[in-house]
Amino acid sequence: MKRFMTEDLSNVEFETSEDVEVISTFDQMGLREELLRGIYGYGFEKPSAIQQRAIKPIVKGRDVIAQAQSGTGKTATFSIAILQSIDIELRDTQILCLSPTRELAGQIQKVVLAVGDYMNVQCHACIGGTALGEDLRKLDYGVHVVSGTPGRVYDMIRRRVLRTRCIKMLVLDEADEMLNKGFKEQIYDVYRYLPPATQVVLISATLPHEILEMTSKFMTDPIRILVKRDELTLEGIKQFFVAVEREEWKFDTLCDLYDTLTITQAVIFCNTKRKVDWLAEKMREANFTVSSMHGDMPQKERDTIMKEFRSGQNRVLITTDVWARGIDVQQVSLVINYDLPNSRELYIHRIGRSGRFGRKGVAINFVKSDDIRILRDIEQYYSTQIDEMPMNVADLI
Amino acid sequence: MNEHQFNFCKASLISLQAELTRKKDEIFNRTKSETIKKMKLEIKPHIHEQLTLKRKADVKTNVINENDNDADAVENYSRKALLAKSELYDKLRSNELVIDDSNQYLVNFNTQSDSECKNKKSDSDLEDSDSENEWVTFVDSLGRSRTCLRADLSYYKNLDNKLKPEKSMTEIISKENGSSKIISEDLFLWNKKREELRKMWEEEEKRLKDKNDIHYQDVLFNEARTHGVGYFNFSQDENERKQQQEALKILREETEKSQMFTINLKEKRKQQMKQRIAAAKKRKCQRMGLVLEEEIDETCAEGANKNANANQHNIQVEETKILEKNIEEFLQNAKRSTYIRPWDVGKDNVKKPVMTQEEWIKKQRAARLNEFAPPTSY
Repeated sequence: MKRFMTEDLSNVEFETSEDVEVISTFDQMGLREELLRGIYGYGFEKPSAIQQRAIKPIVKGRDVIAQAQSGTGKTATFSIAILQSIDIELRDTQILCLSPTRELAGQIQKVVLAVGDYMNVQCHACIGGTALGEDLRKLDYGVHVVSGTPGRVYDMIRRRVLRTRCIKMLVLDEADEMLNKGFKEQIYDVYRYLPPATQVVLISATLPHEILEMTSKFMTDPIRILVKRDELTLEGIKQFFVAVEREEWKFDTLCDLYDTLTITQAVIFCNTKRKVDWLAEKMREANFTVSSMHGDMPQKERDTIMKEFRSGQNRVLITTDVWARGIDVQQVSLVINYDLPNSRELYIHRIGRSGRFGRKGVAINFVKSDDIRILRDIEQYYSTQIDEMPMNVADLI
Repeated sequence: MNEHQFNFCKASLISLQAELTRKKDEIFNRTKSETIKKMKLEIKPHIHEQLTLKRKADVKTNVINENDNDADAVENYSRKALLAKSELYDKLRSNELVIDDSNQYLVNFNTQSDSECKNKKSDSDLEDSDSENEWVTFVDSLGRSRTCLRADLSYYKNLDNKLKPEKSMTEIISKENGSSKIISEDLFLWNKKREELRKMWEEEEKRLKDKNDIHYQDVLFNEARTHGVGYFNFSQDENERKQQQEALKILREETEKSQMFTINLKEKRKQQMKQRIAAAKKRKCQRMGLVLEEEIDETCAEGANKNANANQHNIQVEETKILEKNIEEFLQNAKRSTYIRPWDVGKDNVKKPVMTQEEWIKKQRAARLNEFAPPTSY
């Protein structure tokens, strides 16, 4: 008899489940008519690989661990499944979706609302840095889906404003981040308030082994849809590096590249908030128009910058890893790692801000001589190719 | 001179005239009192914006903020820049400075008649004496308030109309610390648009606070996103939205009806055609004295029966497969329902599951000291 007990899984190699069905069109998935209309209206025509595999098992009520390359429609995958699963007549929280950043939680709310536009679904973004009263009012009035960050959601549950008795599904977007040291405790706290055996869905582009190991603690015999790490980088995102001898030269290189940055939209990643402030200030002093965003900014300002960037008003955004995961702006075609990321996973997420849903993308890494080793390690780990930046990089965008 | 060059020439002339009148104003005001200090402009740290404001001052912008302490610095800076610019223009006009690169300056100084400039100068000198009452303000195509003499109003308005289609093309050259900088007018427009958008979003957010049902269109906030061809931008007004959805529903029903009608019609035609062909075949057979159609039909029917039997067999196999799958799934579901997740223990009377014999032995073995274990060779 197959048991799902917690065992020592450190030596087990996780693979995609055998019984995963592939459904090649949305029409064949048995979705509601209004939902189908929303899907096509949002711009999806043919389901992506992850959508072909993961929607059905989630709708069937199975616990699912879904991994797919960045920008291949993971958010839409669980959004579609969520919308198929809810009872629209019941105006109570039925789905809880947690994400690591406020911006991402807001984006998920947007996608759920967009795909469920014809269903008139109600989805609330329950995130920190906003007025409590607003959350109280919205949740009290009743919404079908809550997309939020763990801290504020937990607060709302404890205040008994967010009622959990009707919740039938918990979605952890960017699951590896959510189950990492910083968030795991908070996720556990929220989970403890959910009805026993609530359906759990984990989604991410990166799912390290240690995360897969711990899933048996809160999931029951999950369906796994995984991607091998040598298939995790996308063909459409070209990766390059620029070797700089000294840190100071990075700035000049960036200024030289500014013309290329503004062809469409670009995101520049630094490793610290202070460096983001410094770089943005220096760029502005040199008369370059840039915007910047990091976690220490007031939420209102973060919101405005996001709106400006999404509307295309700002073309260059300097930011931290707060922007590394999940954020989807169609026009972003260039990502610059001013500093190399601190983990292999973050590299995949950062470069994945470009090349959204089949579009072209370019990632440029600024590397000092001692960074080259790290870059080579990333290159080898994902079996990808990171060449020296060619002169005609603008043609690739 | 081609037309392209001519346009730039005129635009620069106006800017030059505005500078002259400005300089004259400064002298006039300085002698009168120190009230010039009241002329305070709102400044922002961004150098682009500072310079854009300077341009606004150039055309006598009415944006004045009384309470800004840093304004004096800007005022001085602006004055210096203007003086330098005016000096440069004077030199260029009087041919003291030879233009090496014809592309560097957008004003063609060689073709500009001195007399015309002098005339303009004398005009502005006249204004100096007593022309305050003659000043009129109008809003140009870029939304700026501009002040000019009533006599010049029609001229400026004409020019403004000409500028409209190519408003973003003009550029100003300013002198700062000896190096020239090009500030695009696009930047000014961009800043203005940004401010407008920010205001609009704030108002929208305020409106959303009072709204119970939030929909996609409410949270879109001018996002530049490509939607599918089937996307319908519903109204943000709840009643209108409902009406639109109703209208769409009716339209859809009509489409479905017409689709059904077409399908039925096609089917009917197909049947008719089939009958006609059958009748024609029958006639032909009779004429040629061949086997009758019914007999052929019978043999066909036999073949069809065989096929049907095979199909039925296949269906049966399929059905048993599905049944087996369902049974398997049912059993798996039953197993899943008995599994207790460690994180669920303690919730709503969920107790820790009782260990199986194997699990118990495994646990005990793990806890046992090695020296009490049987020898490894055993």
